[in-house]
Parts: sequence; structure tokens; C-alpha cells
Amino acid sequence: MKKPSAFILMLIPIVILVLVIFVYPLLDTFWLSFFEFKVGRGLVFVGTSNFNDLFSDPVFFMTIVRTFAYMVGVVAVNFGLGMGFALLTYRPFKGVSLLRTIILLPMLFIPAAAAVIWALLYDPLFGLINHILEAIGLNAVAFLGVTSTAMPAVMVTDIWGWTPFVYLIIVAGLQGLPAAPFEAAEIDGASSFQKFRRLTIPMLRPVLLIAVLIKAIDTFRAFDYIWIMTGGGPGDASMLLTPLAYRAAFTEVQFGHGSAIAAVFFLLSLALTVAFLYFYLRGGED
Amino acid sequence: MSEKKPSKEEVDRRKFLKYTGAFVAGAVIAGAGVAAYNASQPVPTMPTQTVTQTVTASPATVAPTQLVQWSPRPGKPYAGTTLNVAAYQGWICYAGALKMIPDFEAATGINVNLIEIPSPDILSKPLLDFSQGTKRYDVTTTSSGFWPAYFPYALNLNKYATEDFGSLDAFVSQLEPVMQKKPVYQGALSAIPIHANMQFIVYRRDLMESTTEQAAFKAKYGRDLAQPMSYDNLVDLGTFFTRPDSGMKGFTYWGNGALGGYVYAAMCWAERHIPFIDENYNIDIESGPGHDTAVKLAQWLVDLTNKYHITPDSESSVTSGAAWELYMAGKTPMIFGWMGDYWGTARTADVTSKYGQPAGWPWVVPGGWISCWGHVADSHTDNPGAAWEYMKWVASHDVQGAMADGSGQGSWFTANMQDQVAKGYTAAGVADGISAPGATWPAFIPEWAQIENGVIAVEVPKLISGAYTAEQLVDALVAGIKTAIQGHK
Repeated sequence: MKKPSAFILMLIPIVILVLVIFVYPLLDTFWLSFFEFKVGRGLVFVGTSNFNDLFSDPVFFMTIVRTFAYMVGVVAVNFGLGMGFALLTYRPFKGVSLLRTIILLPMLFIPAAAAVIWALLYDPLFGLINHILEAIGLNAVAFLGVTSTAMPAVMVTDIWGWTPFVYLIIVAGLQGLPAAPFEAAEIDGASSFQKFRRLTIPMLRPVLLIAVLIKAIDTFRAFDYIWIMTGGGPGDASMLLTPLAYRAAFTEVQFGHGSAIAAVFFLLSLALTVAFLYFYLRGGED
Repeated sequence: MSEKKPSKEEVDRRKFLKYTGAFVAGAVIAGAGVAAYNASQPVPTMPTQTVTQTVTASPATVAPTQLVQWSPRPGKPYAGTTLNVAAYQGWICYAGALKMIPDFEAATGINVNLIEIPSPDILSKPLLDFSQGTKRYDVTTTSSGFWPAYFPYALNLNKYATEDFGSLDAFVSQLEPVMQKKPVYQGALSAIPIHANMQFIVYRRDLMESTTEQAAFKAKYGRDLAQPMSYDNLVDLGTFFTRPDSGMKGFTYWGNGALGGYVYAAMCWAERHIPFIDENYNIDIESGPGHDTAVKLAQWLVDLTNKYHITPDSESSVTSGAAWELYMAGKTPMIFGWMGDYWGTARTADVTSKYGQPAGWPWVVPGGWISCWGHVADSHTDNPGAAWEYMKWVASHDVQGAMADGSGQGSWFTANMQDQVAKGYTAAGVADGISAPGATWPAFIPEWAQIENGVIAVEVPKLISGAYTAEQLVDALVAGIKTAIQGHK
């Protein structure tokens, strides 16, 4: 009998790990979404009632829209800034190491710590940002306490925290590009913008798509910044899907309802991932 | 290019990595097996409370009319036990007890492992653990509104109360009359109350008692600057003390998140004496006078910011801490909230040297939400005796006094309360407030846990932030309450 290869044997532990810490909780969440925890009575089977409630709740749809808007906004600015910083620093020049270090500094902060720091910066009475605003003659703004500014304020924090990650991926991609096409383009008289558009972007496409996929999925499931800085408020002005699921399960003691939100969130994430992979693979075929 | 032959050193390194990897893989597989076994165990069902009173009562160590004194059991029978206690993170009212825990540990040999959980998770997370029998916490700290939800999973304390006080009645009779039935569930003592509080308008005495301000107020409104006795009175006071030049807003309340919900509910309950739903599951705010009052007060609350402009623009982000910052920065002279969150700080030199000691007025309609917190022990705990010792210790005279000294809270044990009031620890008005006709308890139904955390705390902030009109808020509250109690009848 042929002995199983070492490769398969080495895969078994990670497969078991994935089954235990990912697949089992996922299946359990889906199962729980058909029940509800009735205080004093325990778990009660409610069928599709949790999903019916979700899909007839305009707040839930608004939360989905808001989550997508959050993701698109954060990822777009992440990439804009990341690309800008990368183009600025991927070639060596005097002081580039110091500049790279400054760009990467936000990565030192864990998201929870960054959220607390930025919440203090935004404080309407004592925060540095409002102090500067008042110093230049503007009124203080309760960024996290006003519905129109709460979510943008959290997005700024998220962008600040994760732009270095995007920057690192892009700068590594830029440094790995071959020099020959650029030299040929230079000889042909191409401008910097033409070289960027016709050479840099197409050659970086696989790297950019992977970075977009990772960052988009990560931003889609944003929790810590929102929960710490605003709790999803004021009202539900900055509520996203993951904090909503958490609140339903652990604050409102509606575990079934929270599981239903988590189940829908998983399906949306899966759809997002499949869509990105389609574009990525299609790009490979091209 | 010829292949480089691996050196002996590299071969040894490869073997080391292989054996290490195999060991780690084995450990992971073993861990996964244990986890899979645990996951396969049936979820514990709700325990049935068996009420027995067959313990022969030993002579009472404390006469029923005495203060709840505490002394360690001889011989330290629980020495070496570790007690996991879920506590409300950052709660000033518990700070006095926290400071004394080393004394308790030294006296009993019990190691208290305090697990601090922020609000509102402190109310719901231990409930999940109690109901699933995880034994994560031996004792939790929770508000009385959540007691009915916890009681099916709570340790029956009758045996311990009888051993130490002679009988269950002897223990319970030491409580304020209005509290005596609350911690007893199907004949079993299931909670020990440790905190009493009410809502007040905390105000800057230096402004309200200033002769200059009083003269100016009288000139403008034709009456004395005094405790507001109506909603219009309060608006007048707030308007008078709203001073754009200094950035002062005349009135502030806790508008952030769940706190905003509690403030609104307190106002409604002071008027109606009904906590939105009664214990027969009748929803007071669905129609009639209850509905009208709820809408009226919701409208009044948002008018404070949008119409009268006497509260901070960012009222929806004002927490108890933020309100105090506004007070200390001279940005507000009046805060509506729970007195216990300010009493201790209000009497520190930092505060008194700036504006003098703050004072407090009852709400315009006396009454509100009775704040009662207590300890509940898990029926699954492996350390029931140690849990009782800790809970009894927190309720004892010295610890309750220390808690009150720092926070102004009251005690539900009558003798403790009287002593604390006499010493000036308990904020003026708390003792009377909790017994006043308008003081209202949350409905003592298991579903209250979801109503408080899932309906009031979620929907009212939408009013304060402008997402709801007053009518929409009340409709949302009714809908949420109906969902929470669904299937009960």
C-alpha cells in the first residue's frame, strides 16, 4: 500500500485546526440562527423568524449599505495614500528610511489602542483636533457625537491605521517590477504618467488585486474602531454589520438574532471574496 | 551548477525541525480532540431550583435587628479557594469594596479573582455563562432588572443564610421593606443587594446660591431661583444659565447610548410609576395616558437641544464622565444623572476648591428609576460557601460604608443605610428617594433583561441623535417590548 505523502501528513493538523476553529463555529452559528434565547426559558426553535425579522427591518438594510460604504471609502483612500507613499519612497534617496519609518509608525498600534487614542483626539472639550480648530477660529466639533461626522471620523482612524499595510504591499510590488520595460518606454519617449498607466499599473495588477481583496474583507468586518469609538452611535449612525451582530448577541441577549446577522454577514463576505477572485483570475487569463 | 551536499549540521537541523513539527502536530491534534469532545457534550438544561429548608438552624450569630456585621469563619474553611467575581468595570460605587478585598483575602484565605467587565456587557455576558454552566464566574454583579433572568441559574443561599442568621426571614428582615421580596425566587434567597441609588439634578451651588444670579433670575422670570418643580421651570433655569460667551449650556443629561435610555425611562417612570410594562405584561406606553406621557417626554427631551438650545449639541455623546468634565470645565451648571456617580468626586478638594461642593435636587417630578445592584452566585459554582462569604462580606456594615463614602450610594440593609446617612456617606435624598411613591422598579420579569439592554438602550439613543421623532421612538419601544415578550402569553 502506498504510504501517504509527508505533504498530506503535514496538512492534517492545519485542516483539523480549520475545522475546529472555523468550520464548526460557522456551522454552529447557522444552526443557532434558527433558535432564539428566551430569557428564563432557554433556547427556543423559531424557524426562519430571525431572518424574516432581519429582512423586514430597514435598519438592517441601512447597516448593510453603511458597511459597504465604509469599506469602499476606507479601501479607496487606503489605496490612494498607499500608492502615493509607495511611489514616493520605493526608490532610494537620502532620508527614505526615515520617511518609511514614519509612514509605518501607525502599524505599531493595535486597533483598540489606536481607537482609544483617536477618541481622545476627537474629544470636543479636551481633544487636540478641536484645540487646533479653535486656535484657528473655528468652533469645536463633537466628531463622534454628531450623526454626520461619527462614521467619517472612525473611517479616518481606520485609514490611518491600515494605510501602512497597503503601502508595504505596493512598495514591495514596485520594487519587484523589472526595469527593462521602463527603460524601453523611456527610450520611446513615454512620459511618467504614461509609464505609470501603461506599465506600472498593469504589472502591479495581481499584487493590487490581492491587496484590495485582503483589505476589503478586513474592512468589511470592521469592529474594534467602531465599537470603541462610537459603539455604532450616535443612534445607529455608525453601526456596521459586525458590531450589530455583537450587540444583538451579547448586549441585547438575542443570540439567535445575532447569529442570523452573522450568517448573512458570512454570505455577503463570501460573495465579495468570490467577486474579487473572479476579477483576479480573469486578470490572470488576460 | 552541481547540487550542494547537505552538511551534517544541516541534516541535524532538518531532523530537529521534523521532530518539532511532529510534536506540535501531535499537540494540536490532541487539543482538537479535547475541544471536539467538549463541544459534543450536551448543553446543560436549566437547573430546577429545589427549595429545601431542612438545615437545622444553628444559633444566630447576629441578632436580626443588628447591622449586617461580618467576621471570618473560624478555621478559614475556604482557604485556598479562588473565587471568580464578575465586577462592573470602572464603577465608582464598587471602588470602596475593591480597596478592602485584600483584607477579605487575608481574613479568609480566599483568593478573589476580579474580572472587570464594562457596561452593558456586565449585565448580559455572565448571564450567558450562568445559563450555559460554563462556571466562568462564581459570582456576578448585576442590576435588579436582570435578577429574574439570572434567578433560574442562581445559587440557592437559604442554607447559608440560615446557618449565619438563624433563618431566611431573619436575614431578609434586615432589608428595607420594599426590597425584602425581591431577592427571593420561589422561596430561595438568590441575590444579595449591595447598592441603592436614585437620579438627581446635580447643580453648582455657587451659581444657584449667588445673590447676583438670584436677583437677575427674579428680575427676568418674576420668581425665585429655586428647585425646578415643573418642566417649564427647568427650561427657564437652563435658559438662564446658557451663556454663549463662556460656552456654557444650562443643562446636561447622560445622553450617550444606554445611559440616554435610562435617563428617558427615569423621567417617564417618575410620571407614571410604571416601567413601560408591568408584571402582568401590560405595555403601558402602547396607548392611553402612558403613550401620551412617553411621547410628551420624548419630545421635551429633544426640544432641550433642538428648540431651547440649553443642552450640549453633542448631547448624544455625553456619558457620565463627559458630563462631569463639562461641569468641571464650567460648561454646564446642572447635570441629571445618578448621584452615586458624582458624590465621592464632588466632595474632593479639586472640586470644592473650584466651585464649592455641588448640591442635588430631585427630578421635577419626584421619583424615577430605582437603581439597585446586587451579587448573584452561579448555581454551578464549585465554591458555594466561598461565594456566600464574599457576597455577605460586601453587604456588611464596613464594606457598605466604604462604598457609600466614595460614591454617595445607599444600602438596602436598613441599619447600614441609617448609619451611612448619619455619617453623611449616602447622598442626601437617596434614602428617601428609594422609598418615595414615584420610585419605580424595572418590571420583575425575565424578559426585562432584553427590554432594558435590547430595546430601551438601543432605541432611545436614536431619539437623542435625531434619527427618531418622539412618536417613532414610542412606536419602536412598543414594538421592541412586544418582540421581547413574544411567546410569553
